[in-house]
Amino acid sequence: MRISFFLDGEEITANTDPKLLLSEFLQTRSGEDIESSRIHDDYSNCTLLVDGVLLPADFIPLFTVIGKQITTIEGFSRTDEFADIRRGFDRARFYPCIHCRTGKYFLTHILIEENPNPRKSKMSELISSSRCRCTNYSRYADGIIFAAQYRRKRHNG
Amino acid sequence: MTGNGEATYATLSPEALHTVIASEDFLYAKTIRSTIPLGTIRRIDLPEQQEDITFLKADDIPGKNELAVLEDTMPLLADEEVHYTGEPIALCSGKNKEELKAYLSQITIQYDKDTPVFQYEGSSAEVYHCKEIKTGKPETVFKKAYQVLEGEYRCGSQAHLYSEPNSVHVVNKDGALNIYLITQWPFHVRRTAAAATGIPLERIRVTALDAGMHLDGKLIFPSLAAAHAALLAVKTASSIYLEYSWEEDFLYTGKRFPAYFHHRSALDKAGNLLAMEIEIRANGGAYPLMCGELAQRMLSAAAGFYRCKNLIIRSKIIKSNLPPFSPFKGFGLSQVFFALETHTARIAEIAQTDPKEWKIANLKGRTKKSKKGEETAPSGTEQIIQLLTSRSDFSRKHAAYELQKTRRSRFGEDMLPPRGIGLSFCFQGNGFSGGREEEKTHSLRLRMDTKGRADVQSAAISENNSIYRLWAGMLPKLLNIDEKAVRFSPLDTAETLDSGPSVFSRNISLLTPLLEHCCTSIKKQRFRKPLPIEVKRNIRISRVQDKKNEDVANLPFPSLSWGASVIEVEVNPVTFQIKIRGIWVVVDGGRILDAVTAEDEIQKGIYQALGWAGLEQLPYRRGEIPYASYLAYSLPDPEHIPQPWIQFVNPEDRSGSGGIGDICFSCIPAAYISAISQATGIYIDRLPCTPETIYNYSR
Repeated sequence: MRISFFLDGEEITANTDPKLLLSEFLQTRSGEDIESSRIHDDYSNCTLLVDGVLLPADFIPLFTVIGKQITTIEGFSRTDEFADIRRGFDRARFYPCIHCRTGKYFLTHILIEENPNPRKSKMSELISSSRCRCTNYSRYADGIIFAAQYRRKRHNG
Repeated sequence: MTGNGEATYATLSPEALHTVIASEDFLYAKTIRSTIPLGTIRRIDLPEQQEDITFLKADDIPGKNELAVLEDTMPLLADEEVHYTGEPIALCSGKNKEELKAYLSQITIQYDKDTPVFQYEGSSAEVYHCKEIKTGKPETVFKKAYQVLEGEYRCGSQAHLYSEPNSVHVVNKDGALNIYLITQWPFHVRRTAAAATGIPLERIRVTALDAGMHLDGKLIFPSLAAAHAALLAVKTASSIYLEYSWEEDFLYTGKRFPAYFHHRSALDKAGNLLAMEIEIRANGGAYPLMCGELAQRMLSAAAGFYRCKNLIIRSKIIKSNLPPFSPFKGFGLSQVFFALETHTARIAEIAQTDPKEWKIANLKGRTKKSKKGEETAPSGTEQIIQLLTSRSDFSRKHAAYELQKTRRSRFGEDMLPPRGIGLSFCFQGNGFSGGREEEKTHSLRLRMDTKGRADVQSAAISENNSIYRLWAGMLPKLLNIDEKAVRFSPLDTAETLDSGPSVFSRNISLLTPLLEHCCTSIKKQRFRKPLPIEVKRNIRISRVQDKKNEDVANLPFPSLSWGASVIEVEVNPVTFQIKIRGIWVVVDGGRILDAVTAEDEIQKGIYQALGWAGLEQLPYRRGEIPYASYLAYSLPDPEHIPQPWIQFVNPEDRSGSGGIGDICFSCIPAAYISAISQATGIYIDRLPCTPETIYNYSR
């Protein structure tokens, strides 16, 4: 089946099995387009944005993304939005572990897009969907607030 | 990869590994596991032999069929008998993942079943370790005591729930093996793989990948997986990739040891401790992994830090047919302190005393003395308790909630929201107890090259590379060099030294002082010797052990850290939901090297300890965790945990640093349970305490 979608802004057309998982397709395509590896074949940092919605590539069949915009962490890490988040996290001294940082970066991006001026008092409610052992939630909340500040500053000058 | 600063961390990330192994042809491997908890393997029926599939069982192991951890062992593959559901029986590898799955589904194993044992509390089953200590004359004191208080306490298991299931990639290059995996003990992986395959140590190279938050869950089982993959790599003469699925990892790798305690305390009229009799029973699972260390740690800490000379403590680690348990943060001590501190809260209540006053009266002091032997200031213990209770307003709240509790005839009767507050005190034993692993030569090397760059060689592995961030901040100050000039050798057994396992806060309490010694030595040598200068130091316990203080002299740990916590809760009388109103923690970890990292450690510890105390349940049914419990296992919601107040103190001005990672696991659960007991007026004596537990107890 012929499948087209946008990967990090670039239009991709492939003639492939539509039931193939998005993660498998991306890995086969270049081996480096997605932050994943054989060491975590069934679990990976394969979180990505599909039309701005946070989803795991390991669960998405390829046919469901026809015509959609897909942002991988590799593509996202080249953007100013990512730089804001990275600066915000560094300032808060929040260092998510290698296994969950992709999700944390994307979740922060979505939260700031929805609410450019987030308040710490509401933060735990917002980030409670992203639970893991390695996170200091207070520092994560600070990181989001700082990242939002950098983004506002960049937009407003 | 690089961290926050400019120092180079040479650990290999999974992305980098992808590049390393991308060109390798490899076979997928899977573990075939027992489906019964106890029995003898009668026969294994294999499907028709397929060209690409390799099958390996215990008979095919060329070396030792043994995973040895300290003095304990378990087989790599079950030989004839299986002792728990999920025990590895055989291994299979194949080129195609789907074909391998299909092949595995056709394998049938027939067993002669035996009657398994799952209970351990009153069980007469086989005992791995049985120890007893007795001091003073407890029997006589119990006979003469004004009153005797007894209590039983139980704590459940807890899953590490790390972000990455165990996976191993073994690259076979002309018979030499390169093993890539996440582990806390790369040299143990190498030893285990070498012993199993019969390949000399120098032909096996282990590279540790970036670890997430493992909570000590990556200490033992990665070695088992690595040995399995190495065996297949040798048999097939190929590279092997063995992965555990999420479910497989959750169900069959080690968890926190469940434990049962029976406390009996002799008290005087004022409720002060005169004697203690403590029975400890821990479920050791099907194989004793570090059970000797567990028994020693539990025995040493069972009576806590109380002034009680008349003691009988008996500890038994019982064999059962549950999957083997393994170290978890707070190994042994967290269970012991939960029971002890919940028990002492009851003593204080029966004595109608403020728990704070009771603790000050009964805890040992760690008193700093002048040269004449006079006490110079309130003891370290008292300072911790005073600071914590004054900041949390403990005494006033405790008295008010006690009044609220006694005025109502039953829980939920009055209109006021039932509230309670709990106080708990603990210590953390840093390093192995009784010189177990510490007697071996574990080293660290620091090299300064001609360009003034410092290269640290150690096998320290920390969660999320926190130890390297800490050292990267410390070294430039100690050596007067730029941060960019600090490098850390790859976590590769061929390029670094064996620093021992990264567990029990050894990185902070043993390796960090070693690194400081190396820095001091290089600084001294630089005046008279040209660069490069290289200094290697071995861990010597005498450097860190505080045996001058008689209060701590009998505790068998290289060093100790201290902590206490107060937790305030409100319990909904209709739904029994528990709302945490406040958390206060004071920690004495000696000299704090980096306040931000230390605070991070405590904050994360609070979340995880509250998870164990109030949410995370592993109900074993017929020897295994039901699939529904696996799916339902969840972590605490940060929304329901208020921002804690955390304070670090160093009342004795200790120059050394101690670990603090276990403190929360040891002091948070008892404070939480005591607070719930006060709020509800129901004595809760087990972990976890969920709304359902309160409901069941209230009936």
